[in-house]
Amino acid sequence: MLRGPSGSGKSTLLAAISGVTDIPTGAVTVAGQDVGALPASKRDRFRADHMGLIFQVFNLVPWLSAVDNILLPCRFSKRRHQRVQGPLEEEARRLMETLGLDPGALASAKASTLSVGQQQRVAAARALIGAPEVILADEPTSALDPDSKDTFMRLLSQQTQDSGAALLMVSHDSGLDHHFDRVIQIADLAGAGAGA
Amino acid sequence: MILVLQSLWNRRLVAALTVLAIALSVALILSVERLRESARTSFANSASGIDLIVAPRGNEVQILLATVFGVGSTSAGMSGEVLELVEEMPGVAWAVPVMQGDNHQGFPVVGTSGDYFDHFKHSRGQSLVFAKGDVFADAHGAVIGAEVAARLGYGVGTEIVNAHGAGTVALEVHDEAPFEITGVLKRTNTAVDRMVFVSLEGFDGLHAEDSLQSHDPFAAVTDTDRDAHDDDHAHGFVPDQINAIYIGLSNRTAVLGVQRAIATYTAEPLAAVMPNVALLQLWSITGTAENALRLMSVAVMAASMIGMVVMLSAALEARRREFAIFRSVGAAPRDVVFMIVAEALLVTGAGIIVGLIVFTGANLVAEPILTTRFGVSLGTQFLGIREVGLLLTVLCFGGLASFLPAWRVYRMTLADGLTTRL
Repeated sequence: MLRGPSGSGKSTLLAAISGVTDIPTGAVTVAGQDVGALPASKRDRFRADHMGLIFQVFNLVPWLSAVDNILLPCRFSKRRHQRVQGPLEEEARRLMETLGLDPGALASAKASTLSVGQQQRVAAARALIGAPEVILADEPTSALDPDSKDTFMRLLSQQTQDSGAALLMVSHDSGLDHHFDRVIQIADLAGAGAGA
Repeated sequence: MILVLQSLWNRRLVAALTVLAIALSVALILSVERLRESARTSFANSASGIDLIVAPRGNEVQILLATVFGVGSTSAGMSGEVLELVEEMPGVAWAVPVMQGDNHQGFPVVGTSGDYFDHFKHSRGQSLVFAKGDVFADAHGAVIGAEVAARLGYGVGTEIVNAHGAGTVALEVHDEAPFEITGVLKRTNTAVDRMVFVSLEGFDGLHAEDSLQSHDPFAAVTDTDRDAHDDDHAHGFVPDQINAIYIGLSNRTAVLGVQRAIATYTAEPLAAVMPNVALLQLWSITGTAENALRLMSVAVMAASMIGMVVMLSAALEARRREFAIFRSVGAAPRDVVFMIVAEALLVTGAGIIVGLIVFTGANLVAEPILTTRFGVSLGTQFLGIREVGLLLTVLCFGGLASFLPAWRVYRMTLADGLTTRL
């Protein structure tokens, strides 16, 4: 977990890691690949193949159903598609179930009809599908109430462990520290950041 | 691609309205083109078997319209003697006299000889064929075109009464001289379909009875006044006044010679009109109106295209978040651009398909009206090569028009990255 106050550059760091912004060569290495060395189009592909992202809010395409939202990465990444064993929809429903969503009631519901808590879980399922190496989460719990926060974090860390992914989360909430193996203050990274 | 469909479905009302706007403009463009084409083919088909039309000197277009299409009338008649003169000219294969000026419930009545049905050719050399009955045998017989029969419910044996004048308003009804229909022609999709043919005697008889002479039309044949005519000829009865003569040439190269001979005829001012030349003149006159119509339909198309760009652009702001999400799950900016262009192509494509349906429907409604009034058939062929080309052009412009919103989206996704600034 990466912790720091608002405006300290947490989101910018995530953008750099995920390869959305241009970064110099050698600055970021994800799953053995120097992200900065890739041209823009390859970075998009690399992100689709190896990373799952969860944001604070507005994670879902409102006019798609929960299942369609979860399956979005599989449409853009052949690798994620192939890593899903069995039918895609079944896997999406399985992930929903493990994250505490009732697939029977919610699978075909439009994302815009879901509650914020449900939306964040659907977003988590989307980040997890196809077992990417890295899950990047940008304050995914800030819109949730304290109880749901804990449940959400528990389920998310459980699932990332099960799929063997690394979870990098940025947050200013120290109450979530116990879910993580390592907690780094962004201020401690300043030297390295300046170096890059 | 499924995403594009789902996204459009999410905005189905606006998308449907845009499709409708494009559909209407597609139907309009196709109709204008089709009407223009079919008017030209139909007119050309009507006149295709006639090499020359001899009529009192006047405007060539007016002569053509009056004699071949029964629209309007020629200024005056000419002496029946001209017929003999023309028949003896070198190169002339056949000559058929034509009398005009009456109508039957708005359909032009043509007085002619029985030869007309043997010689008249339409639509690249097809002869007239009788669907029922046969050519009139005497002065009281009449032959009607297919459209007249269909429209008025006439068949062989029906008695009809003609009126003087060319319009639908019967100024003077010749109810003292009824005709009995002896034959109905097969449909030709030319002006012939809406004509009523009677014999020269019959036509002349209508007017003869009005005159002081008031004699039996059959007597005219043996009338001493007409002894000047050479009775060797097979055409028999020749009235004093005729309106025009259709000429078929045995040798096309004779056309200029015949034309000159007629133009220099001293007894009365005559002209020999080549139907094809007169048609070209007619098209050059109507060309301006046609171009105005085309310009307007293109403008309507442009307006509907702008409507589509507005639809796509207006949704862009609202969809920023959506694009950011697509980016986060691995969509490249060009994927997002592709989505916009695909949306535009889908909307345009749907517009073209709906437009074709509207066009076909409009055709079915307009066809009977046009055939009755003008003898113009819109044709049964579904789409010509030109029309397909036109539709492809529309589709291309639809794609081109989407480049503007697509370019905006490209810059937007690059600037936004994964974080949406709302």
